[in-house]
Amino acid sequence: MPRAPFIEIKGVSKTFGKNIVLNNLNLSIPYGEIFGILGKSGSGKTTLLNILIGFIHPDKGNITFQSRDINYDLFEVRKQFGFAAQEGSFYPTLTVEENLTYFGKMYNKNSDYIKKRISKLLSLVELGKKENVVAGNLSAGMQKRLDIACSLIHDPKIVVLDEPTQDLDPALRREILDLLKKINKEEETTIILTTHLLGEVEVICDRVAILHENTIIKQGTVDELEDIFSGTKEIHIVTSPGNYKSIVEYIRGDKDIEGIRKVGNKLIVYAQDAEKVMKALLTVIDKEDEELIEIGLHKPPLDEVFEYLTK
Amino acid sequence: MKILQVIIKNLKLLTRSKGSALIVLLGPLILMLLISLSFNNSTLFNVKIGAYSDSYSELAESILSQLEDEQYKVVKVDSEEDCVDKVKTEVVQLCLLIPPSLQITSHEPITFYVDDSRINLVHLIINTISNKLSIKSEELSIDLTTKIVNVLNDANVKIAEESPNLPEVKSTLTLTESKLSELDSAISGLESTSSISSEISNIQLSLNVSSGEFSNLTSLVSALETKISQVKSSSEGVSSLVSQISKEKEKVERLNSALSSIIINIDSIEIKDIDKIVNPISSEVRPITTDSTHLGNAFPVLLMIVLMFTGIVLSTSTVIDEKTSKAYLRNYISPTPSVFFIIGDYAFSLIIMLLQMAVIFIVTILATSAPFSYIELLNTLVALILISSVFILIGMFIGYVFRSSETANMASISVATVLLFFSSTVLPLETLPVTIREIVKYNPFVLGESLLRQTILFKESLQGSYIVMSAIILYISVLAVLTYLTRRLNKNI
Repeated sequence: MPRAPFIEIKGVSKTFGKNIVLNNLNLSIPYGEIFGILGKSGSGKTTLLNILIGFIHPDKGNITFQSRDINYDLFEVRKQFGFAAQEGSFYPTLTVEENLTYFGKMYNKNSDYIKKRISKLLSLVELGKKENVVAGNLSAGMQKRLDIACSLIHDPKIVVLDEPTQDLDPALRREILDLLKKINKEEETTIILTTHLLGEVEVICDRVAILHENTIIKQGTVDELEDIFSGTKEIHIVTSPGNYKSIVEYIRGDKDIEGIRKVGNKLIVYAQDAEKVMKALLTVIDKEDEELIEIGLHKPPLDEVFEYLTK
Repeated sequence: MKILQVIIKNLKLLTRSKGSALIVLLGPLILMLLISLSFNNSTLFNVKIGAYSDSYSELAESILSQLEDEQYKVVKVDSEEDCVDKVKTEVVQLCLLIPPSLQITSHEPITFYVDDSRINLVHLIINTISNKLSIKSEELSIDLTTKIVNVLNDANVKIAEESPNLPEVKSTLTLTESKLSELDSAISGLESTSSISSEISNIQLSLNVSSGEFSNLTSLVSALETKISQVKSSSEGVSSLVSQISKEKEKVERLNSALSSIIINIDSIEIKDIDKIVNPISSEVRPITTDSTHLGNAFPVLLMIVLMFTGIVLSTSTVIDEKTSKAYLRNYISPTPSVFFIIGDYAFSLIIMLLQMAVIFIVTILATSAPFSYIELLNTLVALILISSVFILIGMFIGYVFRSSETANMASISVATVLLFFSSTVLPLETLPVTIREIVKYNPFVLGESLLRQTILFKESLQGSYIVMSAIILYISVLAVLTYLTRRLNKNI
């Protein structure tokens, strides 16, 4: 049962020149969750976030935050938002503390509050002993954590993160995801993040929206999304000499088949009634004098479903 | 408070980027220091003048030696073409073509060949060389005039000495004339001897003596008759002489009158001072500024150049650095109005520029020992703030208009160059057509230069420059609005 919308995006469209980036986009984001927006590179994820934080104005549609249109009282709404961009949004030549102090002041916070908040945040993002280090001298993971700390300096109710694990190695990626979970839990902050890595969404997101061809094509919890494709299974086949063209020609008309793709020397067939399709495949392999090397039945992971849906 | 944070942040960013800090803070100061050391004088150094003549007369050599001093060095060349070529190749800065065997009586002029493309230098040299030649020409003129005046004085003295003799000559002539007239009358009064002969005949008859008895007497009478005839005939010459003397008397009279007139005329010449005759109208050029060094006179312009380039480039780079910085987005989505960032960036640039100006003034005052009162410094400070504000806002406007630092920096330098070009720094504004000049006189660089000249060179108060001040304030207002609008438009991609 979805909670009441914390943020609601209604009919938002945005065009740059002749390029339609977002088209009649609708989205509801509940309070207190980690909300993932999935989409391939160039799908409009960053534009959507920039509209959400008021950096870009939409051509059409409106966005409400706690039932208030964000454009009516933009400065008040902005106080409730924190934002972390892909490349980090801080001054590399200022120290960690100077960055946090400066942005705290920009959010109308007094010195005492900022001092206490810095102490808490540095502990939260595990930069406790780095307050006097110049930001540009921090490691990539630390810079990402500093950026998240900057977005939290004014204690926002909602933090928007654009590809927070972009360009990070798997270990750092894990660290950041854990940090986001911690922030969501300890600060009770609603988190909206964009990514093209569905595996990450499965790890931390409570709710997911898939952005494709300028609009949201699916949204819901991870389980709900997986349920949409629960009947679909993957048949992995490897044959020799591997004349997959004739095999594909033979089974193409089958209504149970949802998709076929070749990955390396392997043919992957997505099918609703997998056993029936598998029998048909074995028949055609035999008919085409192909030697069966490997055949197997798998449940498709979410990233493959995503990839298939957005193909 | 937020504005202060923006200023502090900008200062930290500037000081931590050592290269930028060095260029922005020290660049103009080093420039001014070098200029102070180099141009704090009123002379030219080692200017070479090429000279050519088919044959150098004494006068030509004298002129060349007049030109040669610690500033100018005369180089004799082999031909006119060589002389001109040396100007083209900047071996010499000016070529002097002297007519062969130049004499005072020569009518051929001395010709200068100059490279007009080196405008400022040409005017400076031509001015000095013309002055030097004028001095030589004046010397020659004084010599000639002295001779003439001396001759006149001698004539006057001699006439004055000798003219008193003329009445004496005249009186002698009058006396001679009188005597000759008397002589002439006496001669005219001599009677014929016929009555004597008649008396002798009567006596002879009465005595009844023979004529032989009186033959001797008759002979004497006859001889007397002859002498009388001779005297009478020569009396015509005496009359002619009297007439001649009368004419000579008239000539003496006229000569006396002419000499008197000459004496009166010579005496009536009021100006006998040779310098006055050579230069009847004396002129003196007095500078209206107290400082006569190149640096002192050029200080407002140099200050303006530093102000303009620093103001425009610094503020452009401040804005473009902020726009292209990773933190721009976070600043933008913060609940801080645009105007706070604009004021913060403006105040930061102004502080940097005022710091630079303070150091420049201290260096200049120490280098030139120029006295400045507090009031003058206050006037100058107000002028500097106003002028700096115009250039800072121009730079910020450019920064908000362009998206990449390359184009923004190029634009800022281009704008500064155009403003510099359409000022009196390169060519006097008076060389421009009137319509263009009417527009160009509102060039912020020209206005600023005018304001600084008033406050720094002429030590005038700002009240006298209210029109210039009004124009600058109008510029500031318009640019502030434009900057604000550009930032707002630029943000909403």
